[in-house]
Amino acid sequence: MSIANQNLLEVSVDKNRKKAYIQLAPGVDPLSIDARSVANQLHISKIAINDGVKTKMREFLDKVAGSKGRFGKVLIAEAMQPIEAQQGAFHWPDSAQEIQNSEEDFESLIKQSAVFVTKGAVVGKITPPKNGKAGFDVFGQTLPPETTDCEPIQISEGLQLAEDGITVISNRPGRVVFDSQSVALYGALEIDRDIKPHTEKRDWEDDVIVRGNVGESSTLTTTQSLIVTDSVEAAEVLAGNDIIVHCGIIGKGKGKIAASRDTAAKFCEDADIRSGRNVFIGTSAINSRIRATGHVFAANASIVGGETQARLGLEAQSLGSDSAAPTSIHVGVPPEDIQKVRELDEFIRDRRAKIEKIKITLGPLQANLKQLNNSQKEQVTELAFEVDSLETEIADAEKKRMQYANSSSEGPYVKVLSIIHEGVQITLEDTTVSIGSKMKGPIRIERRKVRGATEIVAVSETMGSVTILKSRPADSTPQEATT
Amino acid sequence: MKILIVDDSRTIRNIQKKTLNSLGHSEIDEASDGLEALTALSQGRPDLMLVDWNMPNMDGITLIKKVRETDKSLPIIMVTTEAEKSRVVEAIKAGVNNYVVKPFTAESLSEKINQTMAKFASAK
Repeated sequence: MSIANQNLLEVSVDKNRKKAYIQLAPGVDPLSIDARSVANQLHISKIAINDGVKTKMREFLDKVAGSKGRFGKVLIAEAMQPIEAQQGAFHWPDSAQEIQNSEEDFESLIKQSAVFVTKGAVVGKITPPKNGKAGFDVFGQTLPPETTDCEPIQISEGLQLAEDGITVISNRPGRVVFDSQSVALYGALEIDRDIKPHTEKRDWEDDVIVRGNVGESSTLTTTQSLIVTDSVEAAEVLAGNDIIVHCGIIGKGKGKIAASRDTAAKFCEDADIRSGRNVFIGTSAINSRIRATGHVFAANASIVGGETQARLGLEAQSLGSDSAAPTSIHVGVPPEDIQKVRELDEFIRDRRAKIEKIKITLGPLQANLKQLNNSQKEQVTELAFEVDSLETEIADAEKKRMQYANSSSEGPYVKVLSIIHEGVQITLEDTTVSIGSKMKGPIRIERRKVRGATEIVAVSETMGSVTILKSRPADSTPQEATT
Repeated sequence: MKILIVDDSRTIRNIQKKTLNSLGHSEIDEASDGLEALTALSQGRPDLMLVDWNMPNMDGITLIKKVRETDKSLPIIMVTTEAEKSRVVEAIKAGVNNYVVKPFTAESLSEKINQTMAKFASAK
């Protein structure tokens, strides 16, 4: 934006007020420009003159003196940028440096689960937060930092800061978990042996690490997380938080794994896995029944056979096999929840209709309150409360509906990096696609609006091409293979 | 806190009960006319009474007068369709502490209950 146009000089300021420029007015003799005329022009344009501007004024005058006036606008003033506040940070010690908080990676979860410390061990270091500092625009007006709040890292009971104020030390053995802005030490029970098959039934309220196998027909329950450094064989394992299995979950058709948060395993075979959040698979999921309320992350794994359901989305290296193993994938709201959503919609419609019916009687009564007799006044109270109570029922039903219909804002998707084999059936909520011939990845299957209609499409992540896939309502018989 | 609701309409009693429940009151007795209310009162004194005016057998104003003969400090709210000023004055003279005109809303009823109870609490 142009601020001023004196006879000799012109000053302009960018729209963010972060840079101001000066230039000679058209036809002005450079020799007529001196320090006073520059200062005067800046003053008229209300540019704050600080040391930086003074230096730039001298540079400008040198340029003017050494030229014949053939140059464009010159930077004369710059804003002093605000310094953003910095949140406190936590850094793992070098030995665990490779541990990242990428929740989409099985290996990192495995490593993170293994951060068990002894008493007196260095858990990591914290960086204290830094407050933000305001800057100034070219007019000298304050430019506040965008982030002003800075939170320190919270340290849980069982951890303390060393004398240097930044090193975190454990007061007792346990499992260290860093989550966003806090470092916590959970009491952990270490079982340094296999859980014997057919014999053990254990119930804990701690994080538990089993350094070995969990044998067939064992039942392990904990309100916290359970980590198994070997495999789980046909056992029932239930955890209030996460279940992390460093090797495999071999269900043999009878084992059951249920975690309120995440479940991670290097591989699973004939397993039944239910997770309140995400399921992470390292190398393969074979003939398993997997159900995740969040995502199934298997970016380095093949999913072959079985039924895999993920409410938000699924990522895999490959789906199905060369032998066309029937592999069923369902993403989005599961069928039973879709039915519940339909029932709730019906319920809400019914209650709304009732309200409308009541309002036909109530409206005229309320409009003439002063003319009503006593019995009509009682009737108004009753009808108004009936409407209230129906509206409460609708609000409750809508809340429930949101829970059942809940999915991510981006919509359910299936992302496959290398190949989707023939025989794979992919259902996105209530619409199914049967894969009739191999599809090469990286590919993303999702719902999109194409020419006004919602279609299931395959988007090639390398070419960007979009192919509409032939779909049918879920649970109906396939008519034709994929295009 | 024990509350006695006196109203001949079961629906209105339910509405009042619901409003009281939402305010955190669960100890609630009911009576469908003045006579039933007197029986209930003889079995135990409530901490608050909500009374309708027009009821069979014994109306609300008669009930209040009878109660006030022996109990001057029981908080009583009249919940009625009688909205005329003269009726309100009559009720106040009889001894009601607050007055709710039907049709009422949950908000207006809870406001009057809270108001009344706060007044009695500060007077103690």
